[in-house]
Amino acid sequence: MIPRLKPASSTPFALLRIGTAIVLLLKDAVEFPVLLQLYGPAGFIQWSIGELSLTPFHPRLSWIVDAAHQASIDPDIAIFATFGIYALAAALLLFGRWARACAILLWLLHWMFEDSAGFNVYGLDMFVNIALFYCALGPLDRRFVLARRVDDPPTETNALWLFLLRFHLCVAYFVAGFAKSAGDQWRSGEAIWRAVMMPQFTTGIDWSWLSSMPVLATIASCGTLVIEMGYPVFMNLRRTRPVWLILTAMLHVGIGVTLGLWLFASIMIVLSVSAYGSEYVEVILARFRRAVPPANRVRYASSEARTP
Amino acid sequence: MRTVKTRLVAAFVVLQCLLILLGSEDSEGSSRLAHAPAALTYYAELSGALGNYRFFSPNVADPVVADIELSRAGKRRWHIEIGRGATELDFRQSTAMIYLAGIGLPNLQSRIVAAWALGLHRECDTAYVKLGHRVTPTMAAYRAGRRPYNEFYYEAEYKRRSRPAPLP
Repeated sequence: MIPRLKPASSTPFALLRIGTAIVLLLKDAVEFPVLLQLYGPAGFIQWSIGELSLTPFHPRLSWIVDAAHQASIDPDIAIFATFGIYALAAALLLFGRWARACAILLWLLHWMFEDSAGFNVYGLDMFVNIALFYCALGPLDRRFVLARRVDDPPTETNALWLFLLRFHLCVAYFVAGFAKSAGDQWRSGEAIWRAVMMPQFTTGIDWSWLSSMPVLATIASCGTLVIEMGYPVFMNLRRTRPVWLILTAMLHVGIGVTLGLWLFASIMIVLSVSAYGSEYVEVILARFRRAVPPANRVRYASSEARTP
Repeated sequence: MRTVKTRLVAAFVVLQCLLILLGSEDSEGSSRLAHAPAALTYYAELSGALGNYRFFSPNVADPVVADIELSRAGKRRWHIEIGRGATELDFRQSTAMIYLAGIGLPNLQSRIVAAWALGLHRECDTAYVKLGHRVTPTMAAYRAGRRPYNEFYYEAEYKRRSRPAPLP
């Protein structure tokens, strides 16, 4: 028997939808100038090599390019057009327009791009895939959308999906922390030093001064282990949740600042805030509504008036 | 009473949780779903249940770098370094380099790098590729004066056999 869960609102999934769409649009903007180098047939990893590791059932861009070839369409144009559809679907997802269809389309297209990228996918792609899975199959909110806003009542289905999302994140964070804890570099602080000194993570900040303050590196690496391994416990305790949410967000902001992995950091923050921070976002929104004078809220009020 | 929909979602959630637990890679880097039926692995991959969350673990390895010199008729034209820089392309190329180095086929890896570089600079006819690791000294060694350096383990020269096709 599965115990009954307290009904939950769909706000976490609204945050997930909006946050994921913003990250996808940013990702699109970053990848657009180098699109063919990343995903093109003669990109860094040529399709003939990258596709060797795929089963015949893995969706890939070559399917679209082959179909376009039949219609005498240039392969590059076909790839750019697919990317354009991906960006358009992300924009529609942001505004909640045809959200389910867009999320499913994005999920499929994301997988296509990932499979065609050969071996150059990293954590960002994996967590975007996870976010899109929940956007595509999870509850749909009708409150934070542009048109026809509806305040749906909390349901147990929402609670079950929220439980699943939280469980997924708890496993991911705990496994990440536990795997690191086995390494002596993470206990001594050398891991942080080596990460910030990697040439691929050069962000313009010179971190060489860290070598003269090794205690800072030790605090940062041990702090990372505590935050990641403590995630399943302290995120699920109501008292410690706000603190742990802030610590987790700080960890990811740190990754963005030191390693330049802003997109990865953003999707991780979106996932954690969606899963555990919706009640705080609701409080902030309520305060904002009270703070803004009614005269400035005419549009919002009129759209609220349509809510049944 | 639970509705049929809620019961179905509850059953799905239980199964998905199980899949997430089994799909997370262990310390050896293998998932417990490795020997599961292909359809289940495929679904786990699609749903994100099959995940390698072991970033930078157990230790942070020396990154893989590639140094490419492109020339035409013996005259050096371009110098490209892969594994340096902080753009999205750099991250992804570095990730691919680490993956390819893990396969342990430097011959294939250098060919991939050379093909990409010659495709990017179509006016060049020769690519000299060096593959290596960026060795970072410990904090103590850095304080003592040691500095990061590239340790190359593979070098190869590639020449075009034919003229590249004109760009559209």
